[in-house]
This record gives sequence, structure tokens and C-alpha cells, in this order.
Amino acid sequence: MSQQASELFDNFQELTPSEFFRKNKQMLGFTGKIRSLTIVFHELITNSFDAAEEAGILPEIEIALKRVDKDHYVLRHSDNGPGIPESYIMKVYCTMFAGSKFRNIQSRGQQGLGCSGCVLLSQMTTGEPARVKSAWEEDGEFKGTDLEFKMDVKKNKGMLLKRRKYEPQNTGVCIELDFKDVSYSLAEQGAFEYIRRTMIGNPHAKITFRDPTGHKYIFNRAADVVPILPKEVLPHPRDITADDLIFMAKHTNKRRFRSLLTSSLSRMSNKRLNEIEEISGIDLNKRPKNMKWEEVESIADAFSKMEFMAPPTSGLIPIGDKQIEDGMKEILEPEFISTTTRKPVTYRGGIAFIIEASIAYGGKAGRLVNDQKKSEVMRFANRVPLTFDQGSCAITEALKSIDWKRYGLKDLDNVPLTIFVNMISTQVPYLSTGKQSIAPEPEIIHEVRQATMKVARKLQKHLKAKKTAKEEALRSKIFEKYVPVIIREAAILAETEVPEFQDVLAKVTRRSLADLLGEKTQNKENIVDSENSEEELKEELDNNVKDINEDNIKDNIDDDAEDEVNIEDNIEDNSENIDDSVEKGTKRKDTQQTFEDLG
Amino acid sequence: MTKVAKNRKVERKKLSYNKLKGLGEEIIEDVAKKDIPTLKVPSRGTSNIVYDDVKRYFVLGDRYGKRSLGNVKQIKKIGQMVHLANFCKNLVEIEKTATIREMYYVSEGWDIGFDNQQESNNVGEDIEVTLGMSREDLGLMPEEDGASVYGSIVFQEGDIEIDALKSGKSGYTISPTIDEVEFLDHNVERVIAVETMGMFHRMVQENAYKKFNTLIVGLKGQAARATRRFLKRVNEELNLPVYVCNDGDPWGFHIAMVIISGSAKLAHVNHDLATPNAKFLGVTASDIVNYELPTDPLKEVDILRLKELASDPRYQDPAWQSEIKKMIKIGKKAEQQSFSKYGLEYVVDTYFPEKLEMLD
Repeated sequence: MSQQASELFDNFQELTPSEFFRKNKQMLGFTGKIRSLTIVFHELITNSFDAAEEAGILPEIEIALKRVDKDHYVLRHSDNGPGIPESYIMKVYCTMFAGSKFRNIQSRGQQGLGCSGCVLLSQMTTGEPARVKSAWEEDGEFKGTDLEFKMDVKKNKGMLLKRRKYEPQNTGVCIELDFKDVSYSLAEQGAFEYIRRTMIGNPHAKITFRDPTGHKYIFNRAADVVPILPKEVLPHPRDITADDLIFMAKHTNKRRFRSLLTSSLSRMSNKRLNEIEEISGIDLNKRPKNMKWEEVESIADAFSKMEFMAPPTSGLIPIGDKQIEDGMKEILEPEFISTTTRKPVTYRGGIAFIIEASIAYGGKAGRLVNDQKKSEVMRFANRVPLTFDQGSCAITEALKSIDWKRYGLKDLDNVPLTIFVNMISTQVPYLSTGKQSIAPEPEIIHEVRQATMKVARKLQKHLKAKKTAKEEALRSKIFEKYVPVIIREAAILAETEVPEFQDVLAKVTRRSLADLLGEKTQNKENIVDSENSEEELKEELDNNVKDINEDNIKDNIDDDAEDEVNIEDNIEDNSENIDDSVEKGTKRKDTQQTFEDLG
Repeated sequence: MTKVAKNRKVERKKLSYNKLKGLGEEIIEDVAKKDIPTLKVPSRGTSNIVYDDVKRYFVLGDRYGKRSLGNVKQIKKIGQMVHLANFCKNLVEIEKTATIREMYYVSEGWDIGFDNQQESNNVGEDIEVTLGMSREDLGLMPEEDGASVYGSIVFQEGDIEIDALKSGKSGYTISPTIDEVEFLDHNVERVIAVETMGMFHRMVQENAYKKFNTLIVGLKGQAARATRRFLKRVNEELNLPVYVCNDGDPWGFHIAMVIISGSAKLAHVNHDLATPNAKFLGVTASDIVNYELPTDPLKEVDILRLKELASDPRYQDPAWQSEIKKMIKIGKKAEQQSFSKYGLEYVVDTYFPEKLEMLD
């Protein structure tokens, strides 16, 4: 029996965003226990940072994660931001797609999903309400409210359960949420690592974190300046589609399409407007509301054929070399660090971006895996760490394409190395709603490559210099050990007194006489020093740069090595090699040595 | 004669001692002048081994390498050289000898020792070439004994006199320290060296030493350093002609040639080892044909070796060239003992007299 069309539509209903994401929580990044918790940290931290910076406050966050039961945690997250006025609290935490960031501006969040997503996850897994305390300044006085609420998924709205006013001392927001089906992990994708990376990308922030075991980690600020607020920039014509134009035309109060274009797009001069009219044949003095689809389509088509100035980059605020290095130093205490910030360029013709890259070597750089230091890559987009989906990311792809051997890193995986790459853009082209990987646009890959190769070259120089210094030290050691013995033996051979030989020793070690003599008078400290550094170097030899250092150093000590030879050496070495081969050819006893002269 | 020999021995000893001492003095002088000491070590590479047409043996060319105290790769070798020189100087002084193996073990106690025997052998040779002395002069001797000698000659080794006619059927064994041995007396006109001990015993049994008034030397294959030194000494000190009789194949040829013109590898001491006046008696390719000897076909490796010999500077004499060509042409080789085809005595009764007459 077939149903009538009207019956078929009996069950027709509208899905609110909250309902949709309740059924598709993976689209918010909530997949897997570890990842879900990391995403919660990410959303809350990101929101706190954005809020504080917009208010010109140095962000300070306190997070406490308590374990109630297996897979059941209570998260308490508080910040020192400007707070949220009471009337907006439930909108922020319970309404999906509500927010202040739907602009063409460089910011961490973009979609207005994050915080409400966390509340949704909490409610879905525990049924518990959210507790939010907010303190804000209004008309010169602090106001505070303490709310308990649930999310009404059907209505995409909050449902107030309790409300209490209080008198705060400072502004800020504190939220407490229950979670089940999540788990805290120290793995690379875990919440702790997320905080660590966040600190590197945001050295102006302070985070205090109490982990489920009760241990308190304090990540201090490495920089004391609130980052300059990015400015909103008008979209670039290259980044505009016909649909965008129709939308703009519908919602404008401009009377002419011409003035609509100049007021809503960047790089739109009179000259360009005339060019558009010429190419598309459309009269731009038309009223925007009268624009037909075919017309805007041919205008958009004209955009793609025209030459525009690159989009303004005033809206892009990189972290900056010094700030990145301060952040890296604070967390990684590296032996060497180099950082670079590329000039702004565009991808897809019209979206400006900046790549920043930094490389840290030694110290606490890299990840410790089973007592072995491994290199690690920290990807960032607008200062936010990207922890998942690294495989498909533009940064990963760019780094993979670099021939690391050329930079003295033969075994990149097993080096105490942290590579930092941050993409700054008004629009980061994320590959999915999870916002964890950057689309591999050719321009982005190119920029990441250039930036990383530049810092890698500096690292190579450092490694070389270090190797040379170590070799020099080893060389000096060899001389200091052998020269006295040889001169003593030569004196015995010549049947004479051992002559004064400090001058000769100074010459061969290429060190000054004073240096050699000076070391003898105050040798204690020096010896301790040199022992330390040698130990360090040795450790490194063993662990890290085996292939770089060991071979070469061995070569250098090795008598038969063939580096660094002058012409006479060459003759010598040759003859020795030949001798060797002669010896090999005549290993048999003399009585059978019929082949002796085969040579 | 004894006195001359003794003087010669003392002179050699003095020379070795002073040369070793000089090595130390060279270094100390440089240090005193505040220069970085360097040693010139003649190169032993094949490109520096040249055949001396006049001397008729291989000598070292004039190329050398420098060992500088200021070179991190060379300093260890200098250290090993001065240690070894001190060790040798002491050996020369107390008139003892050590084998190179023993020297290697002694070096364990040095501040700069050797990593392996190969290294110590190389440094030993470095000292030999640097000073232009053979290792025997420096108190170092090879491990292996030399050949057997039978015939009317009396040696003095230390306090003992040895008559090579009264040392058993296997004769007197040439000691590695042959330079310590003096020739007291002899009653022979020539020396015949043979490749195998089988031939040696055949000659002893057939009284060849009486028939030809000769010393019989059993080489036991390639001649050891001591054997070569012995042959050179009897040739030069006693003025005895030396004949070498080996198997009729490229390997037999070359055993003779190493006695006559020395080896490339020991170019630096060939002046003490090569006996350019020694003559190759046989078995030649012509002998194989003339005496219709039982033969084996030449193997590929034999032919290859013959071709190598043909281009070797030591074989440029037309007689050698024609014998080599002939052997390749007939494609056959023969052993010394193949003369037994005509009876055991044949080689001594017929072959040797005919050949000796031909060569003289």
C-alpha cells in the first residue's frame, strides 16, 4: 500500500543545529576518548584567549581536571578575561552558531560552535548541568553571577536551573563540566601535550593546570605583551564568488552596485571598477537589489581574470620571532633555536597568510619515547595547536618534502628536535570541521618549505660548528697525549735530555702557549668544565647525531682516514693503501709465496 | 777472513745503532728549534717501486711521504716509530733479536702501541725504509727458517762451528739470523738451489755435491728472506756462482727471479737480498722439449701468469722472453722430478752436467 505524499510528510521536521551535532558529535571533533577531552581543552582555552586579548588582558587560565571514576572527569576551567554579561552566558554556552567571530579576521575560533559543543558533550555523556560563574564590568562596577543550566537541544537554547548573584573581585569566567567517555592522556594527542603546545604558540599566556593525580603544573609567561589585535580586513575580490555577491547585494543599503563593491571589498579602485565594466559589460551603477545571478556571475568571472594588488596584510599579526623563541625557550630549554617569519603572501589568489617557523634542537626539544629522543612537529594555525589529522596537513606534507640530510640530519626521526610551524591567516583553509589540518594549497606548502629550510640551514651551521669544536677538542687531546710521549721517546733514542717542548705543543694544537700554560695553573675548574661538556657531547653522540658526528670524528682520529690531506699526505696515504693491498695479496706463508710480486 | 767478517758485523751493528739514534736526534733538533718535527718516510707504493736496470733489481724511487707531529693522523705513527726505534736500538745494543710477533706483544706496554700486528708490521717496514736498513739489521727477524744447505761449508754461529756436510741428511738449516753467521771455511765451486726438498734429497743421495763440487740448497718453495740473504752472501762474500733449478712452470720461474732480482714488496732492502748474478738453470720450456719430459697441460691461471711475467721488467732479457713464449706455445709444464722418467740418477748424471756446461 503506497502512502500519499501528505502522509509521507507527516514526519517532516526541522533539525536545530544542537540536535544535528548531538547526532554527529564527531563533526565537532569528539571522536575517541583522548581526542574528545583534548578538543574540550582546546575550545575552552581558545575562547578564553580570544576574549582576554580582545579586552587587552594578558590571559591567565586555571584548569583543574578531577577524576571521579573510570572515564568520568570533572573539568573546571577559569580565566581572567572580561567575563560574559549574564544575558549572553547561555547564548555562548548553549546556542550553536552564535558568536562574535563571523568576520574576515584572524582569530582562533571561527564558527561559534566550540563552547556549546563542550556543554553538549557533557550533557550527552553525563546528563549533568553546566555550572558557569561569570564576572564582568558594567558601568564601572563588577557584577557577578553563578548559573547552573542545561541545553535544550530541541530549541538550541539554554535552560536555566539555578541562578545566584555574587560580588566578584575581578572579571573572568569559570565553567565546570562533567564528562564521561573521555580519558586523560600524556600522549602526543592528549590534553597535557595540548597545553604544552598552546604555551609555545602563546607565550604571553599563563596556564596553571592541576592534573587528575593532583600534580600542579605552572606554565609561566615568557612574554609580557598582549598581542596586537588583528584588524578585520575586507575580503579580496579573488576570494569572492557569485553567491557572495548576490548575498551582499541583498543585504546592502548602498544604492549602487559600484559603491557596494568599493565598500565591501579590498583593492577595489575606480580603475578596477571600470575594468570590471569593460570585461563583464555590466553597468555597475545598477541598484544592487536589481542584480541578476547571470550578472554577478560574470562579475565574479571578471574578478578571476583581472590583476589585483595582493590583499592587505594589516589584518595579519604573526606571533613574531622573539615571542616564538621566548615561548620555545621557556618550554624546551633548547641548546639551539632559530626562527623566521615569512612575508605575507596569498593562496587561492586572494587570501593572505603568513608562515612562521622555528626549529629547536637539544635540551628538552623533541619527544621522549621509551628513553629515546624523537623529533616532533608542532603545527599551529593562528596560534592554536593542531594535534590531529596530521597526515593530510599542508605542514606535514611540506616538511616531508624537505631533504633533511642536506641539513645534517640523516635520521630526522631520532633527533632531539622540535619543529614549530604556525600559519597566520584571516581564513585558514581547514580540511574539516574538526579544524585540525590545513589544506595542502601549493602556496602554503611552498611557504612552509621556505621557512623551515631557512631555519634548518641555521641549525646545520650550528651542528657543524659544534662538530668542529668537538673535533678540535679531540684533536687537541690527541696532541696533548702523544706529543710528550713522542718527545720523551725521541730523547731516549737520541740519548739526550727531554727538551722544552711547550712551543711545539702550542703550535700543533693551534692553541696559544698562554692557554696551554694557563690551563695548568687553574686546571681544576677547567677540567670539570671540559668533562661536563665532553659528557654532554658524548651523550649526544650516542643518542642523537650518531651518523653525523661519530663517523667523521672516527675518521679524523683514524690514521688511515683520508680527509684533510695535503699533497704529501696524499702520496703517503696512497702508498699505504697500496702496501695494504700488497700485504693482503701475500698473506700466505713465505714458502708458498709464489704470488708475492703480483702487487 | 774471520776477522774481516767480524769487522763487517761490528760495522753493520754500529751503523744500525747510529741510524736509530739519528732518528731521535732529528726529532729533538726540530723541537729545540721550536719547529714541528717531521720525518721523511720513503713511499712504498707501487708507483715508487722502480726496476733498476743497472743493479738488475727493484729499488725504491725518490718519492717520500712526510710524517708530521702536527698532523693528527700521522702523530700516532710517529709515536709508534720512535717506540719501535727505541726497542730496536736496545736489541742491537744487547745483540739479541726478536721476531716481529714478539715485537708486537712487547708493544702492548708502550704508551702508543699497535692496534694489530698488521699495523706493527707496517711501522716496522716504515723504519726499514726510513733508515735504509733491513729488519735483520735492526734486530727484528722473520718468523720462518730459511732453506736447507748441504755440502762442504763450515759456519760459525755464536760459539758453535757447524759443518753442513755433517748436519744430517737434511743439512744445515739457514737461521733467520743469517747475518750473525760467519762463513769459516768451504770447499765448493758453486751453489745449486732447488725448489723442492724431494730434489734436494735426490741430489744428496746421488752425491751431487761431490760430482759438481757444489752446495745444495733446498728452497722449499718461495725463498725466505734468510735464504735470499744467504745466497747473496755466498755469491758476494765467497764469490760462488749460484744456480737455481725449479719446476718448469711460471711459478718456478718466478721463485728463481725473486732470488735473482728481488721482489717489489721488499724493494727497500733488495740491495741486501737480491743476487743479480744468480742464474736460472731450469727447467725451461726448451728443456721440456729437448728432454721430452712428461708434462701437464698449462692451466688458465698458468697462462695468465706467464703473460704477466712477459711484461714484468725483470723478464725483459731475450732468453726469458723466448722461454716464456715457448711455454705458452707448447702449452705444457713439467716438474723437476719428471726427469725420473729416465731413471733416478738421470737428473744428476746427465741433466745437470749438460746444463751447467751450457750456462758456463
